[in-house]
Amino acid sequence: MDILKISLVAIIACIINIYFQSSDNKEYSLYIALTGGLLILTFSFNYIRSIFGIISTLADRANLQSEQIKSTFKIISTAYIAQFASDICRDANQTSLASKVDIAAKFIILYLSLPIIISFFNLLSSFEL
Amino acid sequence: MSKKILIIIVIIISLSTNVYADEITISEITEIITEDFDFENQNEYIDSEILYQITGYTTLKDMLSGIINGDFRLNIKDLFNNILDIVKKNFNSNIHMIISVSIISIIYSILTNTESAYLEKEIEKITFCAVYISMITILIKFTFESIRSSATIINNLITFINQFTPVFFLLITTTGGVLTSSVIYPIMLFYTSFINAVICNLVIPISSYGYILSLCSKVINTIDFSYLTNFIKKFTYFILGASFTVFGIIVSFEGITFASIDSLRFGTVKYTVSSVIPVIGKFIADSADVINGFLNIIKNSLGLLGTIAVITIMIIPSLKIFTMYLSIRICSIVIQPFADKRISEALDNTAQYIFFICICVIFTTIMLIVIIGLLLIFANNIFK
Repeated sequence: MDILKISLVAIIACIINIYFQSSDNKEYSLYIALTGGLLILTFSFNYIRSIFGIISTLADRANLQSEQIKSTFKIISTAYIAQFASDICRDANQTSLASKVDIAAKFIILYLSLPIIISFFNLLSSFEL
Repeated sequence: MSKKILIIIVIIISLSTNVYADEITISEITEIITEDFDFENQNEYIDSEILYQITGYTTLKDMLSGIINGDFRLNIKDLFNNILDIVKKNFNSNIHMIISVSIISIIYSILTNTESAYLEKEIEKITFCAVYISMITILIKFTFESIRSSATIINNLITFINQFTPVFFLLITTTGGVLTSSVIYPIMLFYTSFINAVICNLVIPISSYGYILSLCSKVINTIDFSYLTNFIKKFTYFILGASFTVFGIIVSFEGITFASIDSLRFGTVKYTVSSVIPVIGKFIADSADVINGFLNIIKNSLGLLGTIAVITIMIIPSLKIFTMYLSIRICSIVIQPFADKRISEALDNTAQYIFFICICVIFTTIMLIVIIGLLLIFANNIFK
């Protein structure tokens, strides 16, 4: 049961965090939050991989272009990673840094979605009945 | 003097003369009648296998001979079973399509569902845009691949009718419907080509444009083209409905009027011949009745042939389109509770669009069957 491990890690990280916030070494609380977050992500990594695998198999069965599915995966992963980083920045009270991560993520997502948009317009221009 | 002339005429009439005529069989008559009807071309638009399953004949020519000879029996039970068989086979071949559509919708609903739970609003918006565009690209490609055949079916139907009707009008003219055929034939020829042009060049492209626009308007919540897409949808329905209604009205009125005039003329000529020409006049009138009766049998057989051929041309492609419609509709119903609203709406719009294309095909078929039916009614009205 990975969810038990994840909950345990989260609760322990929370308790340690609270302890450090009330002590003199407040900077440790950030490290604890970061480590806890990374640990939780590592636990869920296997699941993410198997979900992606299943979706790829399904896409193959539906004769979908693998490039299209791959770029969709890339876009979603970029969004998640950027969200994770910007959340950590917000935890450290670095809101301006967090918003910069958000902006960079938006640009990267736009860049990654360009082939999809181009293929969409190509489809529309080649359309004839 | 007048007595002498009368005696001479009586002698001339009473002199027996021999009349020679070749014996002609029914198959020869069929050959003569169908000379103009380009049966050799039937493979271009009719699948002989399906024709065999429905009627038991592989070619239209054999079928026509069968109908005229009286061998043709339309067994409703067998016909129903055969059509069910065709549906079953068609469904099996389209199962791949249904699986693909459901996989696409499920994949994208899962992806968008997970992202909206965790991501910030701004990042979620832009991610959704990208994912949504990727999904509609696949959906549009898929939809157009499966409905591209619709324009071909309509073209095939019109080609068939344009090859079929000249023979029909020839028979109507032969049986005394000169006015009917000279008035209705140009109207019909114009109208079938007009309907073909309206559906293939106006209704289908405009509705496709509206469909793509309805999908694109969901990319961003703030930009909405729903009024425009609704207008396009209603406009295309209006054009389709109006063209069929106008056609029905014109053909019915003109046909009934001219058929009555023809009928009157035919009756008058018959009466004049039988009463003015002494002795043989009545024979001529009676033989005209017999010939007309025979030609009517051929005409009605051609009507039956036309109806069955029209159904054979459209059944498989329209079933394919209908299966596609059903699969997308079921997908949109299934994913609605858990997917993003816009994704289920996109699927719903696709289903509506495919249904509209299906309606276009079915309407054209019904129109052609009605044309054949009306022609039969006019032709039978002349010869009462």
